[in-house]
Amino acid sequence: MRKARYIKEIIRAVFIILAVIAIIGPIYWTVVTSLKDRVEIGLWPPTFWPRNPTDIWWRTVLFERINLPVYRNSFIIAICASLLAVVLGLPASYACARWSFKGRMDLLFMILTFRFLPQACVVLPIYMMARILNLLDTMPLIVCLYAAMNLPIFIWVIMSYIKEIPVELEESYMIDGHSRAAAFFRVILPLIRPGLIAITLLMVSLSFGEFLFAALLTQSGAAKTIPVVISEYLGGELGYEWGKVATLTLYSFIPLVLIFVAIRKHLVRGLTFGVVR
Amino acid sequence: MRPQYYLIPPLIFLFFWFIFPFLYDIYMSSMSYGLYSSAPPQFVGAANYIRLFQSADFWMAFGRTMAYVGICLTLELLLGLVLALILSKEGKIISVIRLVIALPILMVPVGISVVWKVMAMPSYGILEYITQLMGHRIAWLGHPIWTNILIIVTEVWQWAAFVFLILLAGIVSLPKEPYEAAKIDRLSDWTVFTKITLPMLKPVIIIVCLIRALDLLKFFDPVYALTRGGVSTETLSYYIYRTGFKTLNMGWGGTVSTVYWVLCWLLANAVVRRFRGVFE
Amino acid sequence: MAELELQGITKRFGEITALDNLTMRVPDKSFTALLGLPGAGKTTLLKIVAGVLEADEGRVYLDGIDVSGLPPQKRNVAMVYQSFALYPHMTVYDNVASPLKARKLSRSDIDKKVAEVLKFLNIEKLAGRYPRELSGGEAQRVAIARSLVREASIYLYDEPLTNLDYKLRESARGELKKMCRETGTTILYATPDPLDAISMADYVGIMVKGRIIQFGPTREVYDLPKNIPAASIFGSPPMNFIEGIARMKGDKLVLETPIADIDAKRYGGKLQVGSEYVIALRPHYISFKEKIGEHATSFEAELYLTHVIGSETIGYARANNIELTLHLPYIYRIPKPEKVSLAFSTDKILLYDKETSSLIV
Repeated sequence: MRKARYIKEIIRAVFIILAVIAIIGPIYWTVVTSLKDRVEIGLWPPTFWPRNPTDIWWRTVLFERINLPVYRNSFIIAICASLLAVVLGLPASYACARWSFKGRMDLLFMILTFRFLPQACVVLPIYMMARILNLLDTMPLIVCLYAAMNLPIFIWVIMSYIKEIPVELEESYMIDGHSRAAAFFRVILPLIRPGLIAITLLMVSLSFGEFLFAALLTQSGAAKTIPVVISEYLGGELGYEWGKVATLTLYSFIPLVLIFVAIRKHLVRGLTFGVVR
Repeated sequence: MRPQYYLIPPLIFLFFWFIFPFLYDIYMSSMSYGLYSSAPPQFVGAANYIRLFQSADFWMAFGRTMAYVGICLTLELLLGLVLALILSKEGKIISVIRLVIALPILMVPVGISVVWKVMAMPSYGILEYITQLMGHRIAWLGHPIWTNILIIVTEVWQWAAFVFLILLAGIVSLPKEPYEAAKIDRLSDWTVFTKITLPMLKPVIIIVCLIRALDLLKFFDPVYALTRGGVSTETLSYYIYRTGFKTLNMGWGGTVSTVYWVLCWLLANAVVRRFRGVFE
Repeated sequence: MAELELQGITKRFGEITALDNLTMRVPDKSFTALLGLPGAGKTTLLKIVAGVLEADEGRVYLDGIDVSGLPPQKRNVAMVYQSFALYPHMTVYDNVASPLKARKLSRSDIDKKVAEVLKFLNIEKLAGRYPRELSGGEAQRVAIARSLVREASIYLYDEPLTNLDYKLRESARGELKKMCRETGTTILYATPDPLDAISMADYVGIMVKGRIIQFGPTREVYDLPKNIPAASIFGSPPMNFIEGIARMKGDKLVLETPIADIDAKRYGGKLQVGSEYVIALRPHYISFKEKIGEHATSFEAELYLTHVIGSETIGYARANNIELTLHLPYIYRIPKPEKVSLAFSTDKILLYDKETSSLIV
């Protein structure tokens, strides 16, 4: 009996080690490559550890004139899109959480289905619309699109957070003499703040990584985002710059890791609309 | 009446950016129109649809997308489930390992696709090296089968972690009593798993499968980054990109988009219906 | 301070009718208890008075003014929820100051009033704490403080003692009573516990399934419950009910019951021979045969369980398969079930017509 238990533990450990290696592997490669100099990158067989670690890529990618505006774009777009989603979504979440009106669930589920619709389906008409409205290749366009993409998740998750707060608190606040709006800003908002921040950060991460709209709807640097630049580094306009690729990927990875660490408790709820805790 | 009004801004917003374009897709699908051509749109009725359903490329893309969904989903589910079960016990080291396992979802999908591509490049990549060590020579990016496998690996690498996270949350929130009872009854691990854990996890598994399946239908980023859609790795999204967007052929793009959208909508509705049962 | 009047209040939630054409008048400056079992509709009623819920039909009058359409902010009522509803992210001070801030009083005025009410309830030292740091009793006082800090037309209490443990409840009752006397306000107090009503209320309204089945001064309602539901709710421990039939035994009118024949002389012509009646007997009034004097109806029973509470005893007896509860004002234990002779004074019973459930006086 004990032997069987022992074997099980070993299998378990082996599995874990394999999984960790598999996960860390590509990440490790990325980090290592970003530290190798150009010569070493081209070496065959490839080395597992940089012989002369260099920060040349880190510096170039960061300061290269092409790239600085791209970081700025990615951040601005992600933040603006998330704020827009918050502004549009908060009242709706509150209304759906506190009132039950006819068709509420139907509307909510319809909103939910939007999350699942492929970007590719609307990219053509949006291209046309954007051209007509002169919004092509502009940040506001992407901001609106990302806000629309993230609204469903936002509304659902915030609704579930609001539902957790007992109605009596707002009722009591109104009996005290405050308006319902005051109850929302002074009671609900402070109490859902951690969840709200978490979801906003989640939306920022999702906006960061979106590719299709960004790639197809922006041409010049005006609204280009990080994912687009990453894709360009491959046999495309900028040639085979592995060092830069690795570093750029790393640069987009690190902010997201930081966000993840900050919101990890809320992550599951955010990704499953509050059904699984 | 008042509460409904609060839903109006988001609904209008979503309508404008999603529904309205889709309606335009439908409209365009009955036309033959290229954005850069000088000819005005011409009504062709269902001709586009007929051509679409007769197009071998379309069916290839369709079939491939379905295959990707099926294979990736299965792999992600299995790996995610196994990992979640293995890592369900608490412990300091376990917590750290969980964080590590969850890292892949944080990568920008394009970024990680590019990383995998580079790792697989001939004469440069580490994958090449490792497989060489093992005695084979695999042209990861040359041979269609291996390229497909590479794409699947990229996708699963990133999203098995997602499934893992969700299932882990589910497992951790399961009640302890049945397990204690099972221990007293000396049930075997396999029995515990199949008769206790699995049934209790069913709702969570269903939800995560449905969410992943629908996300997988949109499959685009790895395809674009790894192979630019060539060499038989084209999915529906890429098909639209190639035949509709690159040429700005509104009519054709509209047609494919409509069909694609209807497919996803039907599935999403089925999902939501099921979801509703679990949710309410 | 104001008089509350409810006319024909009806409230439905989907299929369920929570309040059914309810009419009630709460006298000015009275402590009125709303007594009812869980689910009777007490909380719903309070919420309608507060304005948090809107009635489907009927009107609410506060001090003669029709407030039915007004939102809670405009009604000047105060309410203490069963869960206390303290704002978790605010200190005790801010919680209590909330109604004053809504009225835009000056900072110094607020300080003064809050300090006053905190002192009144003996919780000044809690001012800087957060609700999660408070014990049950402390939280309750903060909730009450918040309601008292401003002058409302009426104060609504929704089972404020239910969330306290037993011991605390006793002392809280005493304090609440004292406090209400001192502030001289109109209070509507919802509770499932008859003891609350008996010890604190001037008036009591018994609420069953969304209706008020009896309303009046507490003593009156307690002594003479109008029907069987009222009798069964208002009593702790609960009333004993014995079914009987009116018969003529010889030339005497008696109520024939499984445990004994009860002399029904005093009811005279009000009883119909052959009809079924229900006799209600308070546990207080059953005792051992030796202790009861005149007009006693005695019977044999088996006392099978005693339960001492404080310095009193609840006894459970069975006579001819009828379960009876006794309430003895002293300690009495039995090592094992014993046969006893019990008795009760015949003029202490309440008689109800079985069909109409109405009291026969």
